[in-house]
Amino acid sequence: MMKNELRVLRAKHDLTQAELADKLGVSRQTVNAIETGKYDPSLPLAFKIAGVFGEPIEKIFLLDDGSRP
Amino acid sequence: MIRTTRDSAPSEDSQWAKSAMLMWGVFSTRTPEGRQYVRTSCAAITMLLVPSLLFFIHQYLHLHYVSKRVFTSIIAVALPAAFSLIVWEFRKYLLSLDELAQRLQIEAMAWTYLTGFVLAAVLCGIWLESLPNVDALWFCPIWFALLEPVRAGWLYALSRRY
Repeated sequence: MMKNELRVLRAKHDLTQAELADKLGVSRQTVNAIETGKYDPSLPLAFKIAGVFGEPIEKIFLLDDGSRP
Repeated sequence: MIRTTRDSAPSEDSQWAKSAMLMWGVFSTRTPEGRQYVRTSCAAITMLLVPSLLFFIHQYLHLHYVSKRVFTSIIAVALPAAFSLIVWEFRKYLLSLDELAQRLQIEAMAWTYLTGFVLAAVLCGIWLESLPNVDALWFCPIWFALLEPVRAGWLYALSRRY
């Protein structure tokens, strides 16, 4: 499992999980599962997330030891 | 503004609807695809159960209004037709899901394959053993309809991880 900054970024952008899910075209449960570190998104979805927040993918997702991929 | 109270508490533990998962093996019956799957499944089950029950009653009461051959022919056609309908609709439903939901559905199917057939075989054995006077062989495939509740159970169990 990877760590991620999704919750922080979502809060910064003032988005609810449902709003972010709409933007990504996934369910709110999926956003929740990614945020809580229970599910690692596919590469296309990770890129979509990066696109929504305008951040590079490696700034959002971190390896389990906290290092950048 | 950072909103933590607005959606952290309800969404942290909010999961897919229990009733939809346990009743129908879908994440929601509110989506068009979920609704359609439920409708088609109901139609298919009715198509399968009506002739099967009539046949069962007919055989069990030793009636001779309709020949056994007619019943068995109807069931032989209804069985694959009903399952084909369910499979076709489920395929459409599956394709409409997002990646996590698809993963859960596929995982639930894999576990159903592993455990459901064992359950169906056991029930088949009990059925044949307990009703020796009924030509129950035709009913055996109906036990495979129990694969759906097994899948629903697995889906519910697996979805708890998220």
